[in-house]
Amino acid sequence: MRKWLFLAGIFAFVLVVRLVFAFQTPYFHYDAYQTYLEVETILETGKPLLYMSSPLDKEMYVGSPLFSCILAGGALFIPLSIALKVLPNIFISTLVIVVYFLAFRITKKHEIALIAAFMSGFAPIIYETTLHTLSSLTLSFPLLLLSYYYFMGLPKKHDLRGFLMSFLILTLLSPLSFILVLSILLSLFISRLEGGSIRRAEVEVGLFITFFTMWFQFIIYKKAFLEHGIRVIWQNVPESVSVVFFHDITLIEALYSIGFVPFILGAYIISKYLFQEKNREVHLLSSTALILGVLLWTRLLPLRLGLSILAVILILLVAQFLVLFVSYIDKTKIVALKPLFLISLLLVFAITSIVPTIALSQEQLANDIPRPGEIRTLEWLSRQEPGEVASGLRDGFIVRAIAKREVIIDKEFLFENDAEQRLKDIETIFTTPYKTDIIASLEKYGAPYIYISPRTAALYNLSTSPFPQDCFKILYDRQAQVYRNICTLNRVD
Amino acid sequence: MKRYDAALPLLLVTVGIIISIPLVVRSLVQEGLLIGPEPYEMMIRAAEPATGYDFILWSARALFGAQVLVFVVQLLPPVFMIASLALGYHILRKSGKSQGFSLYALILFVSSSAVLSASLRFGEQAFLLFLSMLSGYLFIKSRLWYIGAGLLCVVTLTSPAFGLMLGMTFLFFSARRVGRAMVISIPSIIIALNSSRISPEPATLHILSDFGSLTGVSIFTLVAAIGGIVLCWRTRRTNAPLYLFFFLSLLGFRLWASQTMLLPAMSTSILGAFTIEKLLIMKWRLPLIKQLTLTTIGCGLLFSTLITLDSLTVSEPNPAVVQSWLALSRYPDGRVLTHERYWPYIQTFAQKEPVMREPMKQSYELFYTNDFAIASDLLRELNVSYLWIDEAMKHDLIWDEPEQGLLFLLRNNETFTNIYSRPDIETWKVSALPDPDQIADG
Repeated sequence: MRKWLFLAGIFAFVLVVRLVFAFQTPYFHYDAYQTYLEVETILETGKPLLYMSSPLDKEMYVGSPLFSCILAGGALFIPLSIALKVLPNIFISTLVIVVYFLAFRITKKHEIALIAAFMSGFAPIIYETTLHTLSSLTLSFPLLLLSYYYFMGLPKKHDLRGFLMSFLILTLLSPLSFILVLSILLSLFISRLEGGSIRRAEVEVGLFITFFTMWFQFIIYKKAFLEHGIRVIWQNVPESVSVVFFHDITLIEALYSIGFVPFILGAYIISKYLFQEKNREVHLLSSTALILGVLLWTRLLPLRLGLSILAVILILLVAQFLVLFVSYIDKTKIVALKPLFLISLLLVFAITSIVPTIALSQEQLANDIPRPGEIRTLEWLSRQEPGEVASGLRDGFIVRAIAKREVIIDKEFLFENDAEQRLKDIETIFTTPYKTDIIASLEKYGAPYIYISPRTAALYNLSTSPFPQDCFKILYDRQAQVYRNICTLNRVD
Repeated sequence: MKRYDAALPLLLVTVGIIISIPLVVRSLVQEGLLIGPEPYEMMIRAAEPATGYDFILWSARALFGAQVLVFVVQLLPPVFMIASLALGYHILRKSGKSQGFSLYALILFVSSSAVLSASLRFGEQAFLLFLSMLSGYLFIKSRLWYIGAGLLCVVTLTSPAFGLMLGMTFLFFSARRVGRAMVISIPSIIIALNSSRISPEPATLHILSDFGSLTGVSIFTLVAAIGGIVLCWRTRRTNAPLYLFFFLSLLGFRLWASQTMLLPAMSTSILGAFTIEKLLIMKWRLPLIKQLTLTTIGCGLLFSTLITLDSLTVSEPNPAVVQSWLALSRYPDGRVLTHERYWPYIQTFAQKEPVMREPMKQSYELFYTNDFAIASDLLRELNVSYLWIDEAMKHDLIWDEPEQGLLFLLRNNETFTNIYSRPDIETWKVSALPDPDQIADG
């Protein structure tokens, strides 16, 4: 009974901490406004935003709408702004419960499973990727780990049922199921190489999820695959953006985001079990870590997403380290100091994980959340005459969601055949000294408005009056600015 | 075994129905236009006597007239394909494979986009496949194996790359009939090595039909083939020819792209059949997972097939574009400059002579030059009377920028007159080229 109370306490504590951070601002991460728009559309029309009208009036498909539907379902009972703050944080907080069960399945020790659950609640990178982002990761991540939990219990019937349920929902929700497939296949391969016994049920399930994931993702992204071919894997991100999007990893960056303790101890367990010991559960987790490493290295997975999953996988491996550590201490003469060692470890964890968590949350609040003035500007823009907007790449989603305008480019690159060109045109608008070039770029997309957020101004080093006043009339100037193009280009033959 | 007796005819009828879907839909919706430029190219080539597939079409034209040729071009490839499937089934059976295995291989083969495209668009490939299968069948079965050798030579003369790959395949599979295989294969290999040219365009990424390729295989077939490679590993000595054929087919596809597009489909289908057979006969620990896995594979193959059928049904040309060529046909004779892939349409619908039938250096210099003097010289040298430009040329095939090269020069309305304009298509007439001396002076 006591262990359940502890687990409930950890869950409640993590949830409360997250909600405190989340309600520090009424707004969301700039990238979250794509989901915001989808949820609003569902609430207004009753239909998911499967097809959206692009600037060229082409239909475009934006992936699985399940997460937005779930959020919209929640918003039927509580106000939208609260639902969008509370629901994702409840979803991601269940991670501690799943981690507890998973760690217990690996270690068979309640205390260690509770420590792992607590640690998983404070991985800095998870706060960064899930706190204000309205990301489907908040739900798909616990489901991914739940799938691992049930997979480890195969071929028991209730584990098979649980696995199929969690796997199917995960597949419906996000392409994260590919990580599950790849890690299971790799762990089977490693077990085979080591001459260990492979459960037939695991091979069978591995086969099924391989074919099912491929088939289902092809259905969801059919149009994108036909349009862009294999480039869909890199989300058709323009070359100039891909460096930022998939990001190069430095060790320090990874250490800081994942947490020092999980990184070092997790890496130790991977090397130990890969080369010395045999353990199916640890092999599965090690395989996941290896797959994530390869996917990050080859830029097949966005940096923060990959690091978030890696952080929790490493925490689960830390649980196995604690088992070894405790059993070792038990055999020595300093067994009486065992609690001291564990408390020291938790202290180191607190310093290296909880402190960065708070720092990253504050940093995100300062840099990645729009200011009230920006929202007011966009709300004002939504009441003006119709017309497309030229905005910075990172402002694309928020302009569409709040100002209800089409933009020249946003981060949804999959259905932009000319994403690279659009990006170049945006850079031309914000950097060229020639007004004819600006007007030509705006006219190309039929965009009369230019929106300059503080971030865009800082990115392009724009002055307070960056455009020639004879052609660009300033309509709104608070924390953000809106300009309107009043000139046209005439061809002289 | 009895349960498979009716399966082959049923499969062949089903294939016939599947292949006819795009033909029926296009005849209803797209005014019966053929699929892609290749059938039109075939009809143009049928005007003169030649070898191989061209000879058959030329004979059909000579016997029944040009009107009937349209039907022959559409119906002959599906017939060749269905006959090839029947022969392929018997070859597999004669090679000691079970009825079930042979059927699974055929199903995987049919689901590949390469097979559907060969049946509907790349008719010559269906013809080559038929000859190859007949050759293989004669090689394995009867005393008429030397006819098989002759057929292989015909294949090689028609498509040296295909012949080369096939000749080498015969050698691989000829463990017990080396002498006969050498007689069959060596002449073809010599002819092919002497005449096949490597395709300039790398085709590695075009092998997956799920990524939009019309000349590849389904990713499910490819995964099943990889499973087959693993499954056959224990008996790798016996199955060595299969491995060689698999890698050879991929190499051929890499080197010659669509000329050898059916070979990867063949090799992956045979290897994939090992996986399907294994999945069906093995004892599963979790019967529910067996059902789900097989259902998923079936759905995946069906999905790939539907994607290919959809792509073929809506592929070029469409009636609206044909209108622009028909409009051009009403103007006086002259040479038309456009992308090389459109040449069969220009000749068939616009009834004009295309400037190029394959990439040509001067034409591309003309497309990219901003210099009016150079453009004038090239227009004169190539004797261009008309320019036909569509959106694909503006955005992908030739130009990247809206006013790049020749697109910029089209502003000169003394030299270029717009004679047809729609949002996505422009036809320009080259009205009057200035005297070279005038340009030099001015």
